[in-house]
Amino acid sequence: MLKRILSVMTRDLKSGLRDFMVVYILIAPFMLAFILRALIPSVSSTTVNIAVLDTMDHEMVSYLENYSYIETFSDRDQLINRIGQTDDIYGLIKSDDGYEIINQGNETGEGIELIRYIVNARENESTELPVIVKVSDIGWQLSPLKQYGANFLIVFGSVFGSMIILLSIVEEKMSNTLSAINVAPIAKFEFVIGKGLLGFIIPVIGTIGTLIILGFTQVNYGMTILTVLCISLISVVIGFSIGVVSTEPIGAVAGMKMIFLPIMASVFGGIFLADKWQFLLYWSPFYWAFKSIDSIILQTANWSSILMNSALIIILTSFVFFLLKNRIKHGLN
Amino acid sequence: MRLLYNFLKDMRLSSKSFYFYLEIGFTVIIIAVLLFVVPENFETNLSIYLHLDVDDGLYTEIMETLGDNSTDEITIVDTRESLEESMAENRSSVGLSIYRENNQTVYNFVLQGYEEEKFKNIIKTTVETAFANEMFGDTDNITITTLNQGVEKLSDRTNMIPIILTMNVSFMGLFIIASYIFLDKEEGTIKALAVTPNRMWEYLLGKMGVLLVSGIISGFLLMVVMVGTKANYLHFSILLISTSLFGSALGLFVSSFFDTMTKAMGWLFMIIIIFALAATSYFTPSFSPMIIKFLPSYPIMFAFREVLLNNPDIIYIYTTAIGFGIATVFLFVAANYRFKKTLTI
Repeated sequence: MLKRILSVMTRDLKSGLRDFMVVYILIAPFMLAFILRALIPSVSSTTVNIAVLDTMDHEMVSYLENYSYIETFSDRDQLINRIGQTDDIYGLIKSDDGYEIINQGNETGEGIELIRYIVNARENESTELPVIVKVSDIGWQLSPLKQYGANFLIVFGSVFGSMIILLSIVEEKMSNTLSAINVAPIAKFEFVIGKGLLGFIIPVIGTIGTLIILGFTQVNYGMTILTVLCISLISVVIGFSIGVVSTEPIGAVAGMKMIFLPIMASVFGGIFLADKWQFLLYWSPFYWAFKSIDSIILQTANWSSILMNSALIIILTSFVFFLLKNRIKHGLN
Repeated sequence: MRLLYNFLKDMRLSSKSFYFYLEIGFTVIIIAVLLFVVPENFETNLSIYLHLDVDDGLYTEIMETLGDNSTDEITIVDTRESLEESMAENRSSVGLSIYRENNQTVYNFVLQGYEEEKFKNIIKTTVETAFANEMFGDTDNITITTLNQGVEKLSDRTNMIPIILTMNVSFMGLFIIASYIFLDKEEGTIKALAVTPNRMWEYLLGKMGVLLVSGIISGFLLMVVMVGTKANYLHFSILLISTSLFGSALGLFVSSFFDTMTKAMGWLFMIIIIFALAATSYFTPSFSPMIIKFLPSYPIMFAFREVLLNNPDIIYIYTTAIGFGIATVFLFVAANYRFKKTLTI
């Protein structure tokens, strides 16, 4: 049995390697991880961007650079032009009796107040305060972009494996080789397992690569692999269900897009929704995977919570599977 | 005439396919999620852990000030150790420890540690200045000039529409057009092109037309249901047509480097994910590194946002539309050149 399952998988792997599909899908998460890694150093935690004229005295510019990113312009029109662009940047110009802050009007946050305080602080440097203000930290170096970016890549990467399954099934349907399994010495479940194996192996490889590239070498890989295997299960089930009913790749690719919505909603909802709204995502297995991966990356995960989340993923996947079971069975016939 | 015939034939075939209705179904699901799941505005309360080691008078004063002003979630903890432990469990939180030292009150803001030095400086200086203003009065000589008075701020829900329009409508063709082309190739239909008076560009443009219609249906469905008559549909239509054609032309150009759908898939999929990164700068405009500004998705998202405003920046909308229109022509010519050499082989 194992031999037959492996032969189905090896055949798909060979076919995928021949047209480089497996290679492309394998390297995709690695490339995305490299792009994320390149992006992380340029990310600033909430600071302000300030545009100044080149006539502003150098001491003031150096002072402002302690707080913000500075762009210099030769005249007021250029500076105003820059402020009018889509991102958030404020203008600061020295006037005869003080300073002028210029904003576009649609900025997010409290940039004007911050700049006002920063400028005032320089003007009132000599003021003695009866209080002491200190800023310290608890030594946690991991930026949210890296934390959530890695999580997004891992959860999203679970789809890569199912794409191979989906496309290989559609190809088999188009070349009429799928019906051959009815007369081949292989049971349907062996064929399904053989086809599905790559859908588990590829996300695991992608996940480990992503974690290493992003420098998460201290995480618990056992917990990570368990979570990725669980989340791959739902992608594989959906990959099969779309693949077996699609007679051509257009429907298959468009159908695959359907899976993007719950993934995006789960990850971005998990990041941005307040705790009291998180229950809106409990239906999604991707949400539980996001929670597991988050705790693994933060190294706060324990086996009981990972097993609990994995059980929830499997229960929700089973529900999806029972809904789609007849469709898959019918499609394979 | 041949172009119109090609387009109508492709439309007829597409309208019978599962895909065409799947796209519309997908838009309906997005609308349902936006209407029934996504709240009108997100609450982004900051979690603050507060430790107070001060006398009763100051304690009461601080608590009254916090009670009056704060909309954040404040949790009082007993010790400095428990403040740090709580922060370690909630990595999105900050801490504030207020205590007495050498007859002075110390306000110690405790951050996680990943924050930039500039951010730490901002906190220290702004709090010090706020204290100085409180004690000695606000005496600055700063004037504020706002370039666009009364700028409208969209609700969080409406603010998500430009992302959906960009990724699901404008770039719909990027993902799908390769499937159309390679399906014709695999079925041998493409060879028939060689013996008909059809030219390659007419064939490719016909495919782009189908995706444009599909995009227009999805885009208008989303806009009409979500914003009704609030948007300017003339600006929207022009922007949608220009960017949708760009998405398809880019999809054609990228696909022209591959000989099967599956080979092109991996790259197209990755391009879509990279384009989606622009959403981070869209939601956090103070974080807009040059690498993200260069992504085509970046100006498209902001142009769609302008369409939703009462007083849109028409120059920005039309510059974007014209810019992508010109880029479409270049990409289309390049794709046509490449496909002429490779597609019928």
